[in-house]
Amino acid sequence: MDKLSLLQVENLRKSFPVKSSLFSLRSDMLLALNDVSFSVEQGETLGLVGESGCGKSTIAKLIMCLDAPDSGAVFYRGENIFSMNRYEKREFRKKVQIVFQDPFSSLNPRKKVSSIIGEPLVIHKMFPDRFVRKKVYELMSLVGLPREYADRYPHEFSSGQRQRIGIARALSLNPEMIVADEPVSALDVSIQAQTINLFMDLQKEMDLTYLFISHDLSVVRHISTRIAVMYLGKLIEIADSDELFQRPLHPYTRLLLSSVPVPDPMKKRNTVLLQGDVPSPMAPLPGCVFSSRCPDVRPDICHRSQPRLKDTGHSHAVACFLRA
Amino acid sequence: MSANLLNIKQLYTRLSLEDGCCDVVGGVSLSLDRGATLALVGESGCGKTMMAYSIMRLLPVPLAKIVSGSIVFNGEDLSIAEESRMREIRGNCISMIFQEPLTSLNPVFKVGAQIAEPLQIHKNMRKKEALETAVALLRDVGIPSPEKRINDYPHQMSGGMRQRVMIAMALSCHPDLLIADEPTTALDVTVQSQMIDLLKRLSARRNMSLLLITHDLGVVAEMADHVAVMYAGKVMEYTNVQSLFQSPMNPYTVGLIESLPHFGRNRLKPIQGMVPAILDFPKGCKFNTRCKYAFENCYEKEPPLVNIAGPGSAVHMVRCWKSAANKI
Repeated sequence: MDKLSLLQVENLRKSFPVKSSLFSLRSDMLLALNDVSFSVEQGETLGLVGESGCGKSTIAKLIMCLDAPDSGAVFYRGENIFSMNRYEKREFRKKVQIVFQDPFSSLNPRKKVSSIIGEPLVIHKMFPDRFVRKKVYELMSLVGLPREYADRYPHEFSSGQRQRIGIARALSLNPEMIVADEPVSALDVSIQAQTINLFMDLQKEMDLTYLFISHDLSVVRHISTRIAVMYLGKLIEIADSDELFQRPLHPYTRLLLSSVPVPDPMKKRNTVLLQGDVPSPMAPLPGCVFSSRCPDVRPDICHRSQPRLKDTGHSHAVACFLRA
Repeated sequence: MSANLLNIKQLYTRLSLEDGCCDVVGGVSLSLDRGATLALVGESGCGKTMMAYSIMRLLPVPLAKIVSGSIVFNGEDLSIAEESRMREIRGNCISMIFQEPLTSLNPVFKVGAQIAEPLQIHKNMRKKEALETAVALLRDVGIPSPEKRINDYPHQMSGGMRQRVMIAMALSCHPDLLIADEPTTALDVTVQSQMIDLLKRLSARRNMSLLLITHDLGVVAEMADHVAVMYAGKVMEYTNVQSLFQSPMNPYTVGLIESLPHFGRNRLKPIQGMVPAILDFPKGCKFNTRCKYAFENCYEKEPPLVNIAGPGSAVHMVRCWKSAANKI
C-alpha cells in the first residue's frame, strides 16, 4: 500500500517493574506489551478489545506519548512520535486527543466547565483569550450541552454529561484522531446509546479517526470498522468488524465472543467456559500466550514458540499456529 | 414449607434530605419463590439498590428509612424486626454480594478468616472447623488449590477470584436468599460468564432464591426467571423473562431494549432525556418527561400497576396508561 497510514504502531514492547514485596529491593518485570504492531487508517474506527491485563490501556498511553516504550515506534503521519522535538510534539498533541473512561476523575473538580474545555485552547494559544469563551460555547453545543451550564462545576453534572465535557475538551484543538479509552463503560445503557450516537455523528461532521478501546463487544462491534483483539500483551487477531464476528479464528476470540451474554432468553449460548483466570503477565511462559488456557492447544506446537500475526486474506490476520 | 419465600407489599423507603424528601422506593410489591431468580432491572437512580438495602435493613437511618409496607421473609416481617434479629438473619438466612469485590472484602484479613467469620458467628463453629469448611466452600466456587488460597489477602487475588470469595462467604451458612447487587459488572466478560454459570449452578443445587440486581439485560436474559423493571422507585413492568423480551409493554422497558447496541452501524435509539433528579420527580407517571407516548393522563395521575395478561396466561404487570388501553 503506497498510502501512508495515519497511525502506525510498530513492534511496541513495554514492561513495568513491580516490587515483589514491600521491602524487597528486587523488582519483577510485568510485560504489558509484547511486540505489538498495527495501523489505523484515516477516517476509520479501530476497535481495540481485550480483558484486564491485555495491555490496551498501556497502548493508549504510548500512542498519546504519555509514556515511552522499551522498544518499538509509533508513527503519526510517518513521524516517530518518540523522537519528536518539543515543537513537533506540541503539534502532535493538537492532532491526537484522548477521552477517558471515568467521567469523575478525568475532570478537575475545582474548575468550571468553561475552563476545563477551554484549557487546551489557552495552553496552545489558539486564539486570543477573548475568543476562547465563544469557542467553548461552540464546543458545548457540538456535544449537546446547553451553554448556560458553562459556569458550573463537574459535580453538578450527571456522568453522561461529564463524559460529554470530556469529549468537548478533546475536540477543542480540532484533532484528527481521538483515542477513546473505554469512554462509555461507566455509563448507563441509554446514556451509553446517546454517547455512542454522539461519537458517530462527530466522526462524520469532523472527519475524525478513532481508536476505540473497550471491553464491551457489542459497543465495539457497533462503532468499529475494524477490530483488534488483545490478550496478555499480544495482538492476537485483527479483522473488519463483521468479518471478525462472523468468522472469528483465534480460539480466544471465539471464547470471548461466545461469553457475551445475549439479551434474548431464547438464545442459549453454546459456551465452552474458559477455565480459571487470565494468567499473570509476569514471567510469561514460552510459546503462545494463550496456550495455558486454550481448548484447542497442541502442546508440541503451541508451547514451543509464539505465533506471529499472519494474514489469512479477507483483511483478516490471526496469530495462531492452528489457524494460519 | 411454602413455595413463597419473600413477599414484599407496598414498600415505601423515604430519603430525607435538607431540601426535601423523596420516596426512593415508592410502593413496590414483589414476590419471590424458593429456588427462583428474580431480576431487578433499571438504570442508576431507579431504586433497585435501595430495595436491596431495605430488605437487608442496611439503610442509612435516619437519612433513609422504611416508612410503610411489609417485607415478609419466611413468614416474618423484616421491616419491623429488631436489629438483633436482623443480625441473626444477615449472612445466615439472607446474604448479599456486592459489585466491587475489592472494596467489599476486608483488606487486612486473610480470605479464609473472612469466609470463616459467618460460620463462627451464626453456626457457632470453632475456628479450625470453620476454616476447613471455608476450604470446601472455595472448592465449591471453583477456586483451585483452596487450602493455599485461604491464606491469601484480597489484594493478592484477581477480580474474578475475589468475587468467588464473596460468593463463598455469602453461601457459607446456606442462606435461603442471595441478593446479588451488580455481581458481574466489574468483571471481564469471560469471567462474567463463569460467574453467571456458577450462580445458576449454586442456586439450583441449594434450592436458593436469587434476587439479581443489574442493569445488564444480557445477564437478565441468561439468569432470571422473572424480571421487575424499576424506574424512579416504581416497578414499571413485571413478568417472566421470556415475555419481557418478546413483548415488552412499558415504554421504558421498550426504550431500554432498543438502546442496546445491535449489529449494523445505524444510529442507536436511546431514550431521550435523563432520569429525573431525586427531588424533581414529575407529577403523574414518573417516566412522562422522556416517554414518546405520553398524553394528558400521564401528566395528571400516576398509572397503577395492572396485570394485562389474559386469563390463563402468565402474569404480566405494567404501569402505563397507554398500554392499559392497547398494545404499543
